[in-house]
Amino acid sequence: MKHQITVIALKCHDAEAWTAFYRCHVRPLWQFTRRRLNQETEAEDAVSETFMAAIKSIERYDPAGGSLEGWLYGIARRKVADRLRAAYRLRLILTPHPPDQAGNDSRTEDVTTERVRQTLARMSAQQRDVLLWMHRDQLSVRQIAARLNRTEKAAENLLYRARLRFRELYEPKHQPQGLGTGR
Amino acid sequence: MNDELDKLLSRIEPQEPRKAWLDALEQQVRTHAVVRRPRRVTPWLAGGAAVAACAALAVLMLLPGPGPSFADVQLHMQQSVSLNYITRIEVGFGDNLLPISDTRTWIVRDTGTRCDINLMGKPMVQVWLPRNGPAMLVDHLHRAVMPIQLPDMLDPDVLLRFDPATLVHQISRFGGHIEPIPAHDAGDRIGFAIAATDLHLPADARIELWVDRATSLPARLTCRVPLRNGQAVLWTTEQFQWDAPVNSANLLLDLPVDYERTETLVVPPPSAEALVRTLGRFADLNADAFPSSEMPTWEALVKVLTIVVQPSTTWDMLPASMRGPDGQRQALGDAIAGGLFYLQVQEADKHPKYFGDRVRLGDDGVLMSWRQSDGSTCIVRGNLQMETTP
Repeated sequence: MKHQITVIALKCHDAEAWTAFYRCHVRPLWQFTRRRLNQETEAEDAVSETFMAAIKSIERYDPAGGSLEGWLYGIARRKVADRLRAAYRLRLILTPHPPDQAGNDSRTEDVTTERVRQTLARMSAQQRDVLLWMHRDQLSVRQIAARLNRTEKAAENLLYRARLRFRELYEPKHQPQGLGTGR
Repeated sequence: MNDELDKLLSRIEPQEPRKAWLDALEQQVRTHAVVRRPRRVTPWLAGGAAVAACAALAVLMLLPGPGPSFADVQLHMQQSVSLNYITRIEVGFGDNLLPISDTRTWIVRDTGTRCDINLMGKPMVQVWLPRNGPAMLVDHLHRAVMPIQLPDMLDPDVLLRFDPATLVHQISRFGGHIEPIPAHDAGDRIGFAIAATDLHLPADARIELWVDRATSLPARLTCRVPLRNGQAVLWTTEQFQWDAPVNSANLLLDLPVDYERTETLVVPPPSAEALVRTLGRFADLNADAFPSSEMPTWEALVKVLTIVVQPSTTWDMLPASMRGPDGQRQALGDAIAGGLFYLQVQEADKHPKYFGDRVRLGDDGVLMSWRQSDGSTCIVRGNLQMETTP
């Protein structure tokens, strides 16, 4: 029901609705783009462009085509892709950015944390996303599916593969204890 | 176990964006959202308006059917199983309006609809329109109870136009234009101004729908229609209660034991002939003038209803064909059947055209026309003659 309220208000270009929508999504969206772009300012610009594009195109959003959140993340993905393509054209070397590293001093972190960080850095952006959303941010499979604009089954499959991949990279030599693939 | 994953990944503190950037972007979003506000919103919103517009305007089922689709409001309506509201009709000049009628309507999906109509504050008519079985009319002026048998051929959804599920159909057909009413006027509601012509009302009619932000369902609807004599009619529908617990005592009519129980009124199948007879009766009562082009079905129906509730002492003021219980029953049956026919023509997109302002009873001019299934056009003239042209 809340989703429906949001959609109606957003389509009416209600300032309060857009503010609430922004506050709800800006942080996870920034983290989403930050994990894909190696400059903080690049992530900020991508998020800014995402919201401006969302305002411009909200009238065309059709709830039958997927969740509002998935629609927003779809715009963000395209904005990130645009920036990556532009950077490539400028021959900028983009190194994969370790997720959620900025601002943390690795010297003060314990070995396990650093190992988790390095493991995540070797995974695909999407696999990192779903793992962090599920196991750090405690989102449900349904919420993750909405964010990805996929079915819950597809989200579960993606999560399964992400866990497998994490396990392979985290403890490559032997089967780790306690890292199963099903919740 | 994935608890282990939870522990491992919780070590990765999420980064936070800069607060200054967050604040600046929030302001930008607010500003940009309002600046980008469209003059017209998509049909997606129009359906919501159509629902409430239909609920208020389709008194006794005879509202012209609106047009296209609206996924969100459809969803809300599909999820609603019951609804009740009050509709007030007032007439007057400017803000000096005289209350004419107030109607409390209850709708329960799969059960039926009940309307209690009060005229000038006094109970006038109660109607019970079940999904299955005969309808019932309690006429308080004549102290009579009249069962009404509607044609079997009718789709119950056409009759139960207040059924939340049926209103979904209305939404899917509505294609009119809606303009949002500025948010600073809305409070806890979102307002829309509805283009009146899309509901077959005069262009200068003003329709406003207010949707509750918390429920995303209609909360209030007003419709102001200017009349030629300078007066205006104001419909206000409010006190919407969606999915409120239904008290069966409220829904079923309490038939007074001392009222006369008349014979069942068997409504004939919807037909052009019944509509023509109804228009003719209206003109008989209205100095040969037909219902205006603004809202023919509504006006005709109101007029015929006034015949039905006419005290018997004033029967001699009526044309002979309308006098007495039989005349009343015939007029009522034709009004319902004719109204349903008009509704069917509109819903089947047969391009009905009506020129009640141009011709008078007895003229040769075209009063009404619509396309028929075989591609020909049916014409009704002011002299009530019907003809078909290729």
